Amino acid sequence: MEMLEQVTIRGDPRDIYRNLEDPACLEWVLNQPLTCEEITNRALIERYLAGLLGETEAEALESHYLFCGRCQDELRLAIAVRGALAEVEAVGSQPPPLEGVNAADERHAPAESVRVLPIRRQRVSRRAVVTAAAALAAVLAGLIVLRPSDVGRAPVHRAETPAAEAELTLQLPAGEVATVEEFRWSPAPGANLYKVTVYDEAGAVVLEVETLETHVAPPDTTVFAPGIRFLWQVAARVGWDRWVSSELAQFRISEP
Amino acid sequence: MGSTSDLESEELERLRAGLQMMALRALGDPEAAEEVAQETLTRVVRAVRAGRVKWGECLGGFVRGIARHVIADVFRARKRSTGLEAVAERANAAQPDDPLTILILAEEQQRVGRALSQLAEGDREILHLSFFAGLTPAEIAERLDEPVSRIRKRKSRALERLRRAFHGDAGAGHDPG
Repeated sequence: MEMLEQVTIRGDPRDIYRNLEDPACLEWVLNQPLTCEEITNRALIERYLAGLLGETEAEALESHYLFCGRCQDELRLAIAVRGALAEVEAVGSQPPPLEGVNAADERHAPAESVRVLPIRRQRVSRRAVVTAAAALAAVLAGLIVLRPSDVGRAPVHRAETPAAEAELTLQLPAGEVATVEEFRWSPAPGANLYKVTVYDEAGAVVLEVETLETHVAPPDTTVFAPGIRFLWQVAARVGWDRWVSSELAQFRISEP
Repeated sequence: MGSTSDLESEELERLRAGLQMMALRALGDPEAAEEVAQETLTRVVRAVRAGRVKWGECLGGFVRGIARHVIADVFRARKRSTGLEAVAERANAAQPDDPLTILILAEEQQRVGRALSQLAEGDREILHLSFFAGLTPAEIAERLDEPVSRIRKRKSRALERLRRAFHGDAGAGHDPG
């Protein structure tokens, strides 16, 4: 039993079978419904609410909980727990705000560098949206090369760390792509958290997600429409309130 | 099974609640979520009545597919009527960080908050890594350098206390040991 617990399968274990040559076998594997126990063991509800499930897993979980009262209860409990945890983070022991930093902006900032920030919707000021839209339009027109600090929604308090910034390069997606399976970038030295932000052509934020890894799959709720150009950027936290950002990269989903 | 008379109201209400959760997560708008749930239920009942599908748990994928179509319709309708100004206004509008919190009563939230504050700091950290970073017990164990069995036990015990608090058990949250 102890041996089994040492085995960790990341993501959807059914992905292992994706390359099966027998279509009937593949279909059978993919159609196996989830059980409540499996959902608990794989922390699917927690990852679902954190926006970290891929499309296949989210589909399986949603198909299950639509008819499962027990898992609906667990979902409601998980929502309450997330709310309570966020509240504790907000009012709990946090260091006094650094000079020149807006305390409200740092409401969810962790006291320890190893803690992960909650994924949350941030409000964007009208000015930031308009500024970002204008800047992105200029980039798309090839008029200027945009630095991260030019974008209205870049982290507000960033120290100079040229080495880390130079190494934080975006890898995938780039250019014309069929789908966006994941966002991938090179690690920044000393980074303990990454924030990925994706903008549409109008400069509106369509996705913002935080992760400890150097790759993240977009949540199933985010749809990248074909034919539209998107820009994305990664900010890496390299110390308490010290962030470095990548250049902006663009991608476009090819039209069918 | 298969006719509308088989559709127990309890089952329908459970399905409606599930659909509302799913739509609320996708759309962030309670009213739109309710409309999506209603429209999806109508289409499902129609399909059952027409004998195209049989009522039961195996319908999960089918119902979810319909709901995704209805949600996509709402997205498309919004896109047609949304300009940059509206994007900015919506972004500035006062709304909770997590739209799903609307599904939780204030009283339930307070009870869970109180129980959470009585947990050991280490247990809160496990819950935080689980609920915000989406880590499995094995991944948390690796990060905290503790046996996975201990992490599972601590998480399960902490969640049980919060569950009791959520359901109104006055004794929840107090650590007997």
